[in-house]
Amino acid sequence: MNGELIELTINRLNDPDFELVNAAKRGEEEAFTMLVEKYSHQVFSLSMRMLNDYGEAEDLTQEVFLKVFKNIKRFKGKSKFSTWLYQITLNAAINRINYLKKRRHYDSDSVNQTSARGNDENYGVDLPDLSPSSEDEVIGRETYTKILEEINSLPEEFRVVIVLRDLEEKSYQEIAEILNIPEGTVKSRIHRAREILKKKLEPYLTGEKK
Amino acid sequence: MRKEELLEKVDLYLEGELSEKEMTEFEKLLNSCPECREEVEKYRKLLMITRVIARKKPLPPPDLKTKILNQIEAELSSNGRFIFLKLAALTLSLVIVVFGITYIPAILNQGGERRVTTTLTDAGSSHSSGKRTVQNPLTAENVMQVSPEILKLANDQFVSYTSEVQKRLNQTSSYTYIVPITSSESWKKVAKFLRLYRNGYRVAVKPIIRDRRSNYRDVIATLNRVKEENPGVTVEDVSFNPSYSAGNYNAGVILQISVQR
Repeated sequence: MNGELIELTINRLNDPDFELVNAAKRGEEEAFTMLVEKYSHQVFSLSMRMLNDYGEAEDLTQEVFLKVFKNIKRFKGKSKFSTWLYQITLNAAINRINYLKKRRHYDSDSVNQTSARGNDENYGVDLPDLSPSSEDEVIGRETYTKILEEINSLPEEFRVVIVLRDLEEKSYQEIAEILNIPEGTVKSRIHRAREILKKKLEPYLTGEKK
Repeated sequence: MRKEELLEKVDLYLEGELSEKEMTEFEKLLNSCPECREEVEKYRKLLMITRVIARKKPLPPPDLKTKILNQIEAELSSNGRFIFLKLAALTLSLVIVVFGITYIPAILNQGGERRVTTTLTDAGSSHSSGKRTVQNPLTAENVMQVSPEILKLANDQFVSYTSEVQKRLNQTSSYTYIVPITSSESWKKVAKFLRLYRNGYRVAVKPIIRDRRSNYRDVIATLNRVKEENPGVTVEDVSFNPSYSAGNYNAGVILQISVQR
């Protein structure tokens, strides 16, 4: 009993969404709406990074929140709510990718075409859209497109960690929790994934291409 | 540290995750190995590019949040919970009808005295002569044929509510009207009721139950209109007090309208 209480207290302290999630569990509409408000952008972003298709990412985001709504009472709070949400999103995205592959709507060509189109349409902004920096100046549209293509073509276990670490900027610890694997494994997968990307993108990294 | 070892640690180096000692060792080797420096620069450039991409967050459609909430509502409707709620609301509406038919004319016919004493009891209670006693009408016989589950739900909800009403009625002479808000017709019913009682009575409108389907802001806005149209009527705003939530099951917003002489 004491152990449970201690765990509950720790969760309460660790998870900024603890109260909100509990209110949502009690069926409070406003609490769930606030969770949607807080996380819909992040779920959409991760979905978009994984699927690289605007319409699919939108559908997936809706699907994820529906799952969360249906299962929120089963969420025991052993991880942070956001970690659980990311797990659901990733699993749903991987299932979706596999489904689309099976339907032959998702071969490598279509991924590449989508991602290329995605740069200016799906991301809603053109390069460089951020405040001018030396970084932006050296990254051309072709590099941008190419790297998204290469990330998409990584084996799933590498792609997931790269998306989480390099595109969604999660910490090693968060990634380890989301994927339920040791932090060391996360680090080695990220290293391996970057190694692959480095080899494939060699001309873009040496300045031969921009 | 050998070159292979160095490259194994390149991620940690570029992300500032190496210890001070490891960092010194790493840079020492880096300075003595042009090939290593070249490799590290490629990684650095790779991370720089991904950082730029990371900053360009994909923009969701502006109505995404609405779509998510609508889909949840649609799901609730399709899996039967909506029908369940409707039925529960309908059952309670019938309670209102029974109360309305039985007591509104009685109240109106009280003439100058206009004193009403109503006692609500749980299902199965009997009538008394001096004091008007209302049997909870939520039984299969006198309400409608509904599933036992729904009947129990509505009954539980009603019974728990009546205990509070009972307490109030023991203290003062008043009449309490329960209105489940299920459509615009419900609001018309409320408006009509308030027109009847706004003069000479103290009227309080209080939402006692809300559900996750209801747009509660709309309810409050309408209640405020009710208040404007009926000066003197007290309208309570329950905000989002969880104690007013009926949990997983409920029957839309239910108003409790108390009338006191």
